[in-house]
Amino acid sequence: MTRFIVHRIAQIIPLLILLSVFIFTMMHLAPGSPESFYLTDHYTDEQAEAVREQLGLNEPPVRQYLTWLGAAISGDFGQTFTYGATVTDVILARLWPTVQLQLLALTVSVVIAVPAGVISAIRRNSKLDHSITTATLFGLSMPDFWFALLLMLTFSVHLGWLPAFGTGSDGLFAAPANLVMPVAVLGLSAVPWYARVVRSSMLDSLSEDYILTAAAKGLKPSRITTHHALRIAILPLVTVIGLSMARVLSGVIVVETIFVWPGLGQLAWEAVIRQDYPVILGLTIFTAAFVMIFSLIVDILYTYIDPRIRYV
Amino acid sequence: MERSSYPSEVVNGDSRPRSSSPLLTVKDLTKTFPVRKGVLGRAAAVIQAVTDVSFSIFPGQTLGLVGESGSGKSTTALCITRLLEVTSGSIVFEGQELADLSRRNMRPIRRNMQIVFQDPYSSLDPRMTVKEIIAEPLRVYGAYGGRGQGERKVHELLEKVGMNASDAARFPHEFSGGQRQRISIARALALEPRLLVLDEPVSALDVSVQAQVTNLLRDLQDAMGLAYLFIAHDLAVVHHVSDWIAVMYLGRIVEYGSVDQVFSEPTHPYTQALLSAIPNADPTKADDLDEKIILSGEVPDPADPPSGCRFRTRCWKAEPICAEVSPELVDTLGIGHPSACHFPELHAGGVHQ
Repeated sequence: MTRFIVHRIAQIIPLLILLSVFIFTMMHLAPGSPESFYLTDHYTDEQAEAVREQLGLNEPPVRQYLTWLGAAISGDFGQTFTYGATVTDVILARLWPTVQLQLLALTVSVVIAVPAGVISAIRRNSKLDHSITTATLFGLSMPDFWFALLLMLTFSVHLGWLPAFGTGSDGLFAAPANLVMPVAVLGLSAVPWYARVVRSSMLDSLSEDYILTAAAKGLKPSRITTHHALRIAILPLVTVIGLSMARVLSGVIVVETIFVWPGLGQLAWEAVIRQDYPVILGLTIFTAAFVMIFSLIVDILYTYIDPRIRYV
Repeated sequence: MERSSYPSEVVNGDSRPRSSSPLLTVKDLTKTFPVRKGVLGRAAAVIQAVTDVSFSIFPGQTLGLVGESGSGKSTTALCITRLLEVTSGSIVFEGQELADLSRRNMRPIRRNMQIVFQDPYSSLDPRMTVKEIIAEPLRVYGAYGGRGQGERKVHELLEKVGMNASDAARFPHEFSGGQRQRISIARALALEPRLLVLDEPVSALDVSVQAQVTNLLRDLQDAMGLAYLFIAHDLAVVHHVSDWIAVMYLGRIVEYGSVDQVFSEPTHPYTQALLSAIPNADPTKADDLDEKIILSGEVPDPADPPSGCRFRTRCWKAEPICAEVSPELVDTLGIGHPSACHFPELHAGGVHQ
């Protein structure tokens, strides 16, 4: 197990370096340049050159990259172009609002999807199952941004019940009223995926002989469902949640931008618009490392969920 | 083992003395499955998995239920243990009718009637340790006691089936098929049942392991006075463990009697065919080879069984009446055990191929 973990962590480093090369190249190939953010509409070449020198953009790209890499390896991701702080500080400041949003969204989606999937499987082909399947299909077909705008239109504009944007708080936690809509959009958008996975894996495990064994032991149906069927059926859901973490940033960009949520998604959007190279690079590396470490955690979780799985 | 009692008051009017009253009496058990077709899932046809099956099992004895796959043996087992709903018929266990019992009221009965499944790989919950698997039925019925007491019971059960107490902490996937089947047996024995339904308990095991497990089952039966419903497709295994034998074909019992009666005086052509197919290990009896009855054709579709006698499509003795009248399970020849054939004979006769 230890060997497995060390091995996996060792794989992460070269992957991140490769990724940074790719992102760096993409940024420099993209049209436009960062210095325009600092300049008025009528600037001289000298002014532009001064800004470029200040930002370190007058060096050859390869040297720029190696300088960045050297510092990054020692944990320094450099100064942002436009935020007046280090990249690390900017990311850390934006991290908590996003984590708050994602944790709540994940809770919402699991709390809805698992019972929905289980009920669908137990009452297979019943009206209830068909209703859940239909609702699921509807959810799958609804784009996040459209759903977000509909919610905003209904609850903020027409009914005036919920604030349309911001966290509504200067403290550690966002105001509950402000959380409702972003969490609903992020959370509900994952429900269809999760519910379908739970339904099909429950159908698999319910057809195993050990479910009959459990019934023969005299267990109540509810206990058979939770203790025998669901415990194994949850494994594919953990896999899917692990994979969907890769979509976290992309999903959160849309939602945070619409709801003006000061998190990583909004930061990513801003950084791309402003062509703030260090922030884009830092954020990409950060997200990629998060996804890789998360998938490692999921792999380790497997061994607790299914004792048949062992890593050597 | 003495085979004094005739198990089948429900089968015919035979009135030989019985040693005791039956533990389990099944009468006219029928199970049908709807075959759903089309978008709306309407019942398009009905599969008759088990039709009018009747037999009895006496305390401490074994009834072997034999037949090809698809003959309804396992369905019978699942109906008796009420893991499947019964379509019609009666199942009387320890004087109580089970066929129409609710799931809730069935639960206390399960203490005395346990089942072991064919597949030792899928019948044990992979997430549970051996200890948890065996302890669970004890916990359900409040028989686990305190921690020390419960663990001792689990260890005793493991030793009873020839495993080590130290195996309790391991998971099912760490064991071989034979060991896993022993764990299943230990789990089934935990509540000290009176009847054990064994649904092909050795069919998935290697032949050498089969013998170990069947011997274990015999030892346990002698020690604990268990009654078995032993389901198998292997006649040699059934011969080894059974006191009584019922031969099933396409959902019906076609011949029923004591082991000696069925093996030495089979009168139903299907039983005769099955028996002739047992490989003979004795080369001095090589002439038996010439007498093998090779059945032609396949088992018919249970959704559309043949009219009259269900075996007639593969029977070398079939006459027009076989297509019209379904033969009763009666002792036509007066030799002591019944078979469901219009033309029962002590010897197969007719055309051999």
